[in-house]
Amino acid sequence: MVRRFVWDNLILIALSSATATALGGISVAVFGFEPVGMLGLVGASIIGACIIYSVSARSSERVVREVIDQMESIIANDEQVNLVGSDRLLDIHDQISRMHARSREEIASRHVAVSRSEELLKVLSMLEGPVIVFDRMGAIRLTNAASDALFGCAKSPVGTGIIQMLDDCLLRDQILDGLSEGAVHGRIFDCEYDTRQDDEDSLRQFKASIVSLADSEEGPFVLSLLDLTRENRVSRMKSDFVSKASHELRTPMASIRAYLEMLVDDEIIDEAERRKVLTSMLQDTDRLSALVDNMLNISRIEAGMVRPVLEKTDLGLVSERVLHRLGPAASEKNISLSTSPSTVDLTVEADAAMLEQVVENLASNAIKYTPEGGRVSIAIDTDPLERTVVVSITDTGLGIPSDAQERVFEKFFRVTSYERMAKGTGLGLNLCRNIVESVHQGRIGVDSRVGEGSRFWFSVPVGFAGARAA
Amino acid sequence: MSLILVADDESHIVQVLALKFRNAGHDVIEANDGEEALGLARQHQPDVLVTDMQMPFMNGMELAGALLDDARTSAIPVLVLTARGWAMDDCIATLSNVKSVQSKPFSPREILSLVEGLMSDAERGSECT
Repeated sequence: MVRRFVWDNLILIALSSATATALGGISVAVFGFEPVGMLGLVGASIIGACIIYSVSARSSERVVREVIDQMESIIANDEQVNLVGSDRLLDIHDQISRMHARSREEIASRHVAVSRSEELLKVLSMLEGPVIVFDRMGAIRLTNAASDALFGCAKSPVGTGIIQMLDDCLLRDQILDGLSEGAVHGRIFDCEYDTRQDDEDSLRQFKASIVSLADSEEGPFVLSLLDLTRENRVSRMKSDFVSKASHELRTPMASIRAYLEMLVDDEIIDEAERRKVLTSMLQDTDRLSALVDNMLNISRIEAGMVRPVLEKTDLGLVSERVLHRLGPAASEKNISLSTSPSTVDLTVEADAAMLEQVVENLASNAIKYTPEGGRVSIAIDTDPLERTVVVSITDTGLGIPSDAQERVFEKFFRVTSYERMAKGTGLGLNLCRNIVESVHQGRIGVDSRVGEGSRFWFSVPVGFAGARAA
Repeated sequence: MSLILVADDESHIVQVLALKFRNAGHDVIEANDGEEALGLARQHQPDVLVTDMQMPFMNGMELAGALLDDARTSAIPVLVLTARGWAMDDCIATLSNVKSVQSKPFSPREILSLVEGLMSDAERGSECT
């Protein structure tokens, strides 16, 4: 490079050399090859060399400065670069410009890649289903938050083996089989994983699918899990409900059908017997009708399809109406049925017909399951702190074992010891809970001791708080 | 004349079956749950037991099992009635005294025919031995 600068300044160098030679020649000519003349020759040569050095140095410095200026202009993205200098300098400028443009493109594309990768990681972390990426050897490359939470990894298990992480679950065996058979890509299978947590969903069911990112058995593989636990539970509940409902419908149907066949076959000739059979058929028909009504009402409330008709409802008056209707049934069993008078305002904003059905269901249950000569009383009071009105129906009946108290509001649940006394649809208390809790956002419960009796109670807000789907 | 034990927690079912069997000339004893039926079976040793599957305190299969375990009642053939409607075939395979499982609703005519068939089979069996 320096040689080129010397070439560029050849004239100056030539002049300097000629001057030094001339001075040396004059010195030798005047003083001859005597020490003085020789000294002059050496001096002239030194002066020439100094001139050449200073000219070269200045030129080199100027060139370097120009190159630095150009580079700074390029770095500063200055489009108006002062193009001075030789063609070579222009070449260097072009090359640096191209390099600069290339690096700018690379940086920009790297920025895009980083931001897309961050986006994808964010999307992955937001996915509800666990996702694990692992290679052909089973080493984990990537996991999402759902996977870490499911498999109890305090930190991301990247770098560890998927087989170790999955511990001893069916899922592990499926993947292990796949890896050993060399056929993991495209596998879809059902599997279970025990989270060993102390809840009803400890054993989780998944639909697992494995696909290869390379679309081949080389991997890496993406294992994604679709959690079917809740779906399966709902499905089991539906199936259980249908099974129980079918059982409850078949039972009264069975006796109606059997009686009808006996009547058709003229096997019931005695008039008293005939009347008894017809009465039984009527009771079974009413039972079927009540069962279907309850099922439909519960189903409508659970689906959020019920629009309560709101009005100022005096729960004291509601209770009196129920008492009046149930009086004959209580008298038949010699049960004293009473309500305690209250001096406070017992009005709530509610659907009066629905709450009347709740009071009637609870009071008629109390009469049904209280032995002859017992007592059933309805008490209503306000809870100023909670701003609710509380209705309690207390009986001197059989009482409910503590393990059954939580379950009495479930569909078709029956207290075994009660079954000898009376039959119900198995849906009455569930309907009460739906009306109180789902439609009126109130609370319902039971306190009971076996052999002493039960107190069923419910509370509803004074002002309607809005219905919610069950 | 034969003695038939009918067990069901649904009083109307007991009532209608008892009427059908009595009209056909049989004696009938009635029970409203499994425990009561077991006591009556041990006491009277009926020729046939017709029982509901789902009953309080002791269900139909538990009742049949208890009868099978007792030498006094192990030979009593059992006909099970069920409102479940499915998955009852296993009962016949599990307990040798359960001879038939019938779904509710049922025809009293058919139940009578089955019960009389079971009594004939039992008689033939006892003659052979």
